[in-house]
Amino acid sequence: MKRLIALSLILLLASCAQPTQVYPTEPDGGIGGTGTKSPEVR
Amino acid sequence: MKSVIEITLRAFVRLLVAKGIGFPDAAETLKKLYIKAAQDLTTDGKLTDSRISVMTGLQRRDVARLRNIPEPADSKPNHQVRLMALWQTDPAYKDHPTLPRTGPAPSFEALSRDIRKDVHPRTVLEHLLTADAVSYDADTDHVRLEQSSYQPMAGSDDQMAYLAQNLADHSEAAVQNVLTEPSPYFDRSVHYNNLPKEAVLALQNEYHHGQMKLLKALNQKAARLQTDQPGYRFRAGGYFFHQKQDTE
Repeated sequence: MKRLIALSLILLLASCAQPTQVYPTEPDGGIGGTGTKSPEVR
Repeated sequence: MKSVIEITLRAFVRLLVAKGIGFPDAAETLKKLYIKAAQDLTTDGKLTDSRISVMTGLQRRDVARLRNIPEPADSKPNHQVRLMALWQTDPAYKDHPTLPRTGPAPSFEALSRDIRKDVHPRTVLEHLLTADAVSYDADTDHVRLEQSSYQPMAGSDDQMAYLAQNLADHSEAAVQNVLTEPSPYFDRSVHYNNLPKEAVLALQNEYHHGQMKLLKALNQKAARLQTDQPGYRFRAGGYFFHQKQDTE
């Protein structure tokens, strides 16, 4: 029973720990810039 | 060469003054960049403080003081622009210009969680609403994509980050073209003077639409080719600058 509780606790802690944002392997991309908004949408 | 410095730095120095960055701070940064340049350009032999001093014209005590200061960290990915890209390129989302705010995919909540699990989708939505990138219909509880590209708020950190990254990569490409034979990067511009203002504005509109069409095509293709492993990065972009000619 104690092992089950310990395992549950570990799994709970693991699920609470959000993955750290890692750079530069984290995918990045898109279109953006300093300028004015595009007049059209899609 | 002095005129090249003056021309290329003119707008940037205006930005520094506007942002309250005084000359001493800029000069200190420039000294560090001179040292970094000397390090980058030296491929043979030991790079002593004296050698850097000779190469850069800096005093040895400045070289000794500044040469081991760590470089600033690379900028982090922009999660807003990433979310908008995913919305327009991911098969699960690209045919849904309007998404329910919450619920399983395809929804704004699920899309936001795909990008960042540590920031609540409501916070991401507020950020995008502020930038007018999306709109929200409270009656239907749906979010609509309003822009094909992320244009951060004027004066925001995101806008400054784009200024730095776009200028840095463009100047890096142009400088490497000058220093390397054969020139490795594409860098072209079309430029004319003595035009009526209306003609320039019409040309600007044509450029805007043509450029966005190309950027969106590249965006779609790059998103399909992207993996989750480190490899190469690229940045390709365009600008259209115009001003009244100085007749004095």
